[in-house]
Amino acid sequence: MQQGEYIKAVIRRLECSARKKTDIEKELASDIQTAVAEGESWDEIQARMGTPEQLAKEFNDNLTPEEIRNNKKKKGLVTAGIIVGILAVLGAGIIWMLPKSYELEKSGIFKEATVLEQTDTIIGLLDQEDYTGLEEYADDKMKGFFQRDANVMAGAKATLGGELGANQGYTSWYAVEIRQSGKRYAMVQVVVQYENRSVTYTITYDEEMKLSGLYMK
Amino acid sequence: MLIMKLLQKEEKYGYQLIQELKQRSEGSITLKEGTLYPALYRLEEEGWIRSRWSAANDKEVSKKYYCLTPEGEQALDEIFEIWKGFSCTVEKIMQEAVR
Repeated sequence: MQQGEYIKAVIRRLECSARKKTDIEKELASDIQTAVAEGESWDEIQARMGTPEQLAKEFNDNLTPEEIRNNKKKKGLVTAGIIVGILAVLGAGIIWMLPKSYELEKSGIFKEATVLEQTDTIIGLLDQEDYTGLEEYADDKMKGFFQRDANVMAGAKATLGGELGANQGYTSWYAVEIRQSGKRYAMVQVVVQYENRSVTYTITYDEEMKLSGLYMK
Repeated sequence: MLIMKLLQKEEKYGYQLIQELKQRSEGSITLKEGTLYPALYRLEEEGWIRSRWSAANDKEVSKKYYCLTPEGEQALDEIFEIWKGFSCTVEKIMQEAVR
């Protein structure tokens, strides 16, 4: 084992503070170099000092209980600090991923009038089952959804309970800006009254006003 | 006590203390680094010795020198008195004839 490796192996096993480890490391290095300068070979020095485990044990046996207790307390504090730090980062990450809503009229990106106008258009296309027309408003993910199978949309509409009848207008609407994972979306929830029943649409747009989410119930 | 005694006349570094103690005890006292340095640190914390690092140069590496402080001188005298009393008591008991 080379001198540097030997010293590192000793220091790693010490149960004292980081500051004391630095002192010991420096003194050991100095001692070894002095011994070599005075004619001892590295093999002789190692034989005299013992293995890193033996030398470290000797140091640790001669440390005061207070030094060991302080080091354990510091290790405990460092461990607690690391755990708190990890939890804080995880917590910040979770908070960052959770969606948060803001008033749409105060949005710097979305205009309420534009959002409502587009929503109107989309609901009209849904009423007409014009899924090709809907694709033009969709983001890439939604476009693929519409293209996959028109029966998917038909099936979705069927869950609403059969024929809806004529669209008789909105009974209520609600629009917000959603921020999640660093991205912004406009979300509109509209209750449309049809001849036979009402349907609640939840429509989401990305920052480019592309349709990125559609939910009907 | 012996470490402090070796530092009484002049400052010395760790390796030097180990070698001198071995030489003056004719090999009967071999102090190892793992024992010497913790002892030196405790003596320094007590204020009985102090240390300094020498500057490295072309001829020799930087060394940590230790020397006895005035408080250490006084402590050494007191410790030696305690040792003398202890030593006399031990010798007295050992000299008692076995009946």
